[in-house]
Amino acid sequence: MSAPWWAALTPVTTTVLCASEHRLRWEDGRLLAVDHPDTEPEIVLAALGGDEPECVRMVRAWARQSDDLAALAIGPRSADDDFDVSPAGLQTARQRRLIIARWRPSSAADRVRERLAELYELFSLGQPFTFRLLATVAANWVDRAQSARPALTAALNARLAPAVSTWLRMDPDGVDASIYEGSGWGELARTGDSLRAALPVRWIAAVWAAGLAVADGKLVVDVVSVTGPTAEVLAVSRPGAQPEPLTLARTYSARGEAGWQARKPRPTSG
Amino acid sequence: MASEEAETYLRLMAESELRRALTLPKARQQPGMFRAGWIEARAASTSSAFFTRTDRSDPSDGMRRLAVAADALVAAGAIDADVARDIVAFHELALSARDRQTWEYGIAPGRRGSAAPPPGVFRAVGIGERVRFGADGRPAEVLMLALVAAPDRAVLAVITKPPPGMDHDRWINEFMDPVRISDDQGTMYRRAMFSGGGDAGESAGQLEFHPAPGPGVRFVDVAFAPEKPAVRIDLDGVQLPPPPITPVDRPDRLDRYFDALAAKMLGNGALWEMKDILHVLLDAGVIEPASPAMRRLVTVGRRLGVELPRELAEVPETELPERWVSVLDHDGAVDGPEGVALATAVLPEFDGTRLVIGGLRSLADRAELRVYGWGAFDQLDGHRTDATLGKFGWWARDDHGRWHVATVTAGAWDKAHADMSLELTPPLHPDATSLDVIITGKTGQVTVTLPLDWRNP
Repeated sequence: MSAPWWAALTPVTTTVLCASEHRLRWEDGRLLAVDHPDTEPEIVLAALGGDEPECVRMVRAWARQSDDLAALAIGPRSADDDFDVSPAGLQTARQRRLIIARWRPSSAADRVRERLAELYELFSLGQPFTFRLLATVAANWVDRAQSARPALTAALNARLAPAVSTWLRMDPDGVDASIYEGSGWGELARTGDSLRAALPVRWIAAVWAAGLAVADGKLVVDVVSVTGPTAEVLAVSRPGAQPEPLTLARTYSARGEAGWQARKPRPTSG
Repeated sequence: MASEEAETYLRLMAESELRRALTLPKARQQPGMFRAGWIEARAASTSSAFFTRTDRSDPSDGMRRLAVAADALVAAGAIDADVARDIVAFHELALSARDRQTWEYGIAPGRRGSAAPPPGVFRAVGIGERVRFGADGRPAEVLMLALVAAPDRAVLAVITKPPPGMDHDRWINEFMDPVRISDDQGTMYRRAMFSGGGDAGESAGQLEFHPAPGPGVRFVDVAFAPEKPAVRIDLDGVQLPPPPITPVDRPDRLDRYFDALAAKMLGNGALWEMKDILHVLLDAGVIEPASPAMRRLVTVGRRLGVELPRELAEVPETELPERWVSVLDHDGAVDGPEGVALATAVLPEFDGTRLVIGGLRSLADRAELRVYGWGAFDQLDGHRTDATLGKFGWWARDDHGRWHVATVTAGAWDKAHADMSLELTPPLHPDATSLDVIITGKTGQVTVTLPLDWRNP
């Protein structure tokens, strides 16, 4: 039994300039316009061409992008990735226009430009939101992975390879990842300098996006449950081994960065 | 047939190249080497690329490897062109988001044009005149090959020799672009624009002028220097009847691609990216080492001394088509006649394209055919790698039975036009008086016989 894909992802909040400074909050797999308690009528109004408050626009953009595989192709591969599309990074918009304009006919390029502009706007909400967006995209492909297997294979490889490199201290190019479509957690097998890995798309959403990929020197392959700051996960200690339960506690560094640490079993008395 | 395996291969390659780029310092701008949209291809075939090529540690190099792989897989029919375009473009965006952008303009696969050739009269007239004049007190000259007039544009195919030491841009701006062109109806044509390329010693290209002379125009006068009389170009000359389009049995797409690669090798001697192309197609499982198409390619490669991937070392050689053997038999020949020929032809529209042959220059080691196209071409925006499969296959045979493979060595493309320079290898037979040019497209083949009316101005 697995936890919902978003279980280990903590809620995050940011502000955008709407009627005034309003809050956008992501929790339980959804983006919410906190200061617009009833967004449904506003969304309907906006869809009919009415004025669209910024908060509502962002929520709609999130929904539109929530299965866009471009997010996984462009977005971060790890927390240490040099990925930067902060508002300052958006100054490269001209360059993006150049890139897009020459690989699509103009009408299609306009559509792609709009789609990517929206995606980059969501990226610019910051890393916590970006990871949650990527988790959302992956989660939305869990049940139809076979229809986008090459893109999802690349997305999995992109994120598993750096994790395995940390875990086994091996060349990330030696990771041969594929999408696991059976029941269970997947498979891992090492041959020489390479690792064959088959994991479900869910791994990106539930494990990687939550910063759980490697914990306590093990590769986490699934999240079983999350209660408050404690996560029960399945983790593999070495390729070829079966996953074992592991209890992790959420930690925060002095700079406020979230992480996970194995909870030591309490000594039993008597 | 597009395959999931090939798409996965290309996506994983993009991933690997991104990882490699992230180990490198952030990129700084690398200036390109474009001139008026004209792309020099000859250097690419032997020693460098069309673009400023940096060392193996530049993110642009990974970008180029990916583009070569994308081109090869598309050309071999292993992946859909739009999917390949997305993969390369998203890779470029991923680099950009990490400040490892590539500055190899145009490396992402180009868009497909969709323009149809304009209706109306197309004319092509051979000229073969050399004009010598003084530029800055130093000798300069222009060799006029042909004039091509279509409903929407007119070009004068030229080879120019600027004065020794003169800057290319100055030569073009001060001496080529101000050329004066008028016609029998009193029309003064607007300032011409030169496009083309070359080196300090010679620039080959075309002067485009506006408006295009209408069907009623009988001649145009072209004057390059005030002190020189204008050269009169008679547009009323007899045009060859358009050759018929004949259907062809189309071989399997993969066979066709490999034969096109072999033809490129026959024309260029070696392809810069050949090893990369073959690695990609073998690794992605697109072709077997022992397939007939691979054996033909390997046979050509070995005979030309081209370095091939090690995994092909055991592939046995095979019999080659007659025309390939002819080209190999004359490898290194330098017996071509030197001069220009009044060789022009207007071809019928086929595969959505109108082609016009606008002159031929023969040199001891090769011949050059100038070709102008209207309609959709698959390669735009300067996108060309060795792996690119051109829209047409070009071969020629002179009246002494010598076959020549023709490869596009330079050109400029936009949504509706293509200006191309094709190199014929080996050189023409020294006594050649006519040349059959054979153009094979998707739907058919056209063979046009060009009488070689030699001029040696």
